[in-house]
Amino acid sequence: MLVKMAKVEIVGIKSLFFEVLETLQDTGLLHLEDITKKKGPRYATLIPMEMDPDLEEERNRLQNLMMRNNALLAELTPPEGGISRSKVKEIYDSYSGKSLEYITSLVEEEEAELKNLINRKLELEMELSRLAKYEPIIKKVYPLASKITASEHYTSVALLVEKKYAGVLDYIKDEVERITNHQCEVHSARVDEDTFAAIVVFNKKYSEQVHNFLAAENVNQVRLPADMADKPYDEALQELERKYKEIPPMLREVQKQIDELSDKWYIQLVALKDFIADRIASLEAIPKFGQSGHVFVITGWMPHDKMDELRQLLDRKFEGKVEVTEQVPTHEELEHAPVALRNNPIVKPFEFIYALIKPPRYGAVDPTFLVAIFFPILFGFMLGDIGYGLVLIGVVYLIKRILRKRGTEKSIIGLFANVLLISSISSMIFGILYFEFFGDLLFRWIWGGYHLVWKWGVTSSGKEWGWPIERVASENKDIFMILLLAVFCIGVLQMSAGLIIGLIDGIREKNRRHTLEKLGYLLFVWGLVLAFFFIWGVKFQVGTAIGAVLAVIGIGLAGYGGGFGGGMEAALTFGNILSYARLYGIALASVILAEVSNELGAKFSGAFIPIGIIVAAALHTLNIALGVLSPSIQSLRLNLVETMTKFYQEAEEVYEPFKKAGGE
Amino acid sequence: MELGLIAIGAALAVGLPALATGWSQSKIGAAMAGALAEKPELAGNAIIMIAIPETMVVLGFVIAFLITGLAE
Repeated sequence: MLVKMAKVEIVGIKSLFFEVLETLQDTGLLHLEDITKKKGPRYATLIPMEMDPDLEEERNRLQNLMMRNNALLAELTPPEGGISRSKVKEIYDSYSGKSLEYITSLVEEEEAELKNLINRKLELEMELSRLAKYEPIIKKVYPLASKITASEHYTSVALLVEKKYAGVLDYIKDEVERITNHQCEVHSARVDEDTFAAIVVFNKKYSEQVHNFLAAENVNQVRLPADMADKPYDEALQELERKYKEIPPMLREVQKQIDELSDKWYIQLVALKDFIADRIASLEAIPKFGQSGHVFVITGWMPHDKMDELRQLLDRKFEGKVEVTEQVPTHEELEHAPVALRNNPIVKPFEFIYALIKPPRYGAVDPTFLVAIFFPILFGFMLGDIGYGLVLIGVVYLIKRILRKRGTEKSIIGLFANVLLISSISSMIFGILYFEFFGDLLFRWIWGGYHLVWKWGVTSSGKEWGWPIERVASENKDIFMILLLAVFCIGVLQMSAGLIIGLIDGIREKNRRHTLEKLGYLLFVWGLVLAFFFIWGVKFQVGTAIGAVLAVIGIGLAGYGGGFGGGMEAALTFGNILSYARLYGIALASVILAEVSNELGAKFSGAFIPIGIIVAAALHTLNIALGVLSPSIQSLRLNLVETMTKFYQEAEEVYEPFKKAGGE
Repeated sequence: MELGLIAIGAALAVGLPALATGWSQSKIGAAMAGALAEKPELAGNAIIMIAIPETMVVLGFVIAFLITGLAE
């Protein structure tokens, strides 16, 4: 449900402003409003607050510290056991009331210890990556380099030539001999499947001509790093190889020292990051407030039931010098009020849908409970299997354990894990209804095939049906129609619930057109239900006619309330209900794949039975993975697209209280 | 002969929507991949968008199953 919000105005004497601001950030209850954007006579006389130059300077310094602190944090390794929030809070609290100079000195102290190490690490990494580019060349050319006769009058170049152009080496040799008047030496060898390497040693005085010739012939010359370019080839390569081997142990040593410092500093840096972020947030909030000669004015929204708590706190702390009053919001202000949700623990996990859409508009009915009812039903209908349900419960347990270790249980994944847990239970309940355990394993073990245990009635073709319900309908084809009818009933109920919420919203807001539009949809849906019931169920022509008339009136009302689009939407509602047939389609695909897994596994006999078990297990795993993905997405889609589009209006603003959040 | 026609009907009922689903998912998938590069927060919407054309093949499968029932 949506939390009832109160529009609040806090007025106090200016000398207390910063203390009040800190108290408000501590309590984390008030969603601040920007007073400069407010209209009306009440705000016309107020002057927006401004940050004075000292505060501007403080903010700039804090932003600089934040950047430096984050840069250090990025280089450190988080503690293996995760970050203890209580420890962070303890350190965070110790910064309270400390001067900017003190905070700066902390960051500088950490920088002094870390910066040299980080710079050294960066240098080594860059050197290693630079040398890594020469590694293949070293490997290819080094064996040849040892053949070179070193001399101060001679220089050398290394060449790499593709195998298909190997013939060009003879041409190069002839040409270089001609250019240097035979004052040269060429060594070549095949270095791998596709490459020949060659080292050309020649008198230095012909250097320009030889290089010009090689460049003109577009031969791939191996260039060494600039700092080694003047050295003889064999020496340069030796040095390259030595350096390339030396760097990794040095890098490991530096990393070890950084890790030791991480243990010492990491949590402190996190606390510092949070503290600086909160301080910046507090300073940046200042321009949202108003002032007159002697008082400051802060406006915002907060949960109505927390009003007394805040009022008493401010009264106690500031001895009546700060006044908290509840304002009567205008209709326009109510439309823009921030939205906060408060649901019971069973419904709360389904708030994960608000990661996909914005929460409902303030004043509307929160449809989370509707999702909490229908999502598990739709999921269970599609993936009804006791075995699959048990596997999913195990998966949820693992996810929760990992999240608990990381301290992210309240993340969106944590919420979805809870949804999956509830859906797994639903899956098991439907599994009992279908008597399915990893497909038809129970039927195979207990009865050697499908067996009707509890007779519920007789279908139109005279066949008995009951528990267990055989989803593939191989024994009784009428089960197919019964289940299809069941999914349409689920569709009608879900859509009607959504439309009733829309109707309530319309009545609450006294919006006649909106109300009539939703009433039109409802009449259309239930008119059709009546008509079909009297055609295929109890044969009663008058009833059919009444149903048809109601449906036509429904389209008329929807057209009146929502215009041409409304009329069209009403007619399309019928298609939306039909599209619930997907539930049965996915359920069938799932159960057939499960049965195929068992059938394939059963084909192996004797010594090959373990292989059969592996094959069946692999296919079941695939089916479970598909079974989680498809039913989740389809359930979401039926909730968000088919149902909620009929009534849902998104909030403009979500309740985000001004609090110490560490910049999160 | 009639059995063959039923089988062809069922195959077409699931096969054609499967092609259509694949084609439309490829288009939506490519577009959503582009959108996600710009706005990673759209990941949830992307999954829903990509799942929308799946309706065709799922309903096609239901119809195919319905048609195969005629064979008995």
